[in-house]
Amino acid sequence: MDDERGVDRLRRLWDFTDLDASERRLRAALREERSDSGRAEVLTQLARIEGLQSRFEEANGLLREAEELAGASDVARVRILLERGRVLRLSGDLDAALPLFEEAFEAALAAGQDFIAGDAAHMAALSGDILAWTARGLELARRSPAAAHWVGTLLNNLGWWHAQRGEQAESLAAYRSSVEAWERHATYPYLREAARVGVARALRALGRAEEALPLLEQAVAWAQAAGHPDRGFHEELASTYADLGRAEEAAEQERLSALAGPGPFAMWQSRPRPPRSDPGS
Amino acid sequence: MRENASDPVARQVDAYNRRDIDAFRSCYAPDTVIEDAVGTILMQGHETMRARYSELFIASPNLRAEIATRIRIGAYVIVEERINGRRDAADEVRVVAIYHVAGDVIDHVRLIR
Repeated sequence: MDDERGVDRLRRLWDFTDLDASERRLRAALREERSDSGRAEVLTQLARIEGLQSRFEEANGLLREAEELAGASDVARVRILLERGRVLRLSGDLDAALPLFEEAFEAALAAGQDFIAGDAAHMAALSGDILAWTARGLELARRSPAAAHWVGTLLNNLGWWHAQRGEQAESLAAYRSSVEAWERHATYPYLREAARVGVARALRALGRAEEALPLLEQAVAWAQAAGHPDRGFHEELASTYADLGRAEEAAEQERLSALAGPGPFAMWQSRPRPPRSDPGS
Repeated sequence: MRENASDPVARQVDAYNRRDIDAFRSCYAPDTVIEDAVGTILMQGHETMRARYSELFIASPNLRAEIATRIRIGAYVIVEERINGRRDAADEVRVVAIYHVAGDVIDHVRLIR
């Protein structure tokens, strides 16, 4: 079922900056699947798309369909655990989500699905003890090239966590490491640029706005060129210009922030969509 | 940034800057694995490290590494290093290294760049 041992065969169908295109590819893959367990796997990914748009009822419906089709497939079972956890987390129930991520992690390891295990470690880090789960994710990445992808994400989570605690030097270290890790994965440029904005935010918090400025200008330029202008990027650049006494440029960035979209991650959770009566088709 | 005698990450940077191959090697376990970001093994074991780093140290008289940022998570130390004076790089080289520390030595390194 895998392109190679431990690598997620469905990951290539995802573009996290374009959920509609991702959904089209997943639905096409669903039609082409030859087995019930394969269909169950794809259904879990469609459930994730629903969950990212706060359509939890639809997501849970797809996961119930997946459970009926999964049979004895370990990887389908792991995906169901992981996506059920994600739906719970997005709906605000972190306490219920964490045991599912923990179970998904162990089950993925047992099934040789190291990429998915890395995903579960990342989600457990966001829902539970971030330091312990980041260490587990790094340990997995050390042992398994298939899980190395998750280093950038784990470090990005850590940067955010330190920033929330006011630990800006640690946040800076984590975000910087995340940027470098993402530089190696050109398929996820938005995550790289989001980490770059994290670096800049930490620098500004440390009173180093001049160092933050070129990073933010780079991130904003990337987002515009990529067709994903991001409100958060413009807001951070506006604040940095303001810190540097460049009022006119700050005002221009504030104007652009009002015009820009909220960015892929925020958009996923706020974009309204009509109800769908045939979520599994 | 905490740097002390029991910290192999700090010690190996000091040894690197002195271009002291024996002190540098002593910071690493005999079977240390050094990989790139995607798990390709770049070096494995003391002898390979000795050969590669001895050559670098001899050819780079102005070699200087500095730890710019550092965090520790359990047995992992993640540092951003800025390296100047490498014989194969005209400009400053920036590397993120994830060190796994076992006791008082490093036994695994993942070089992000």
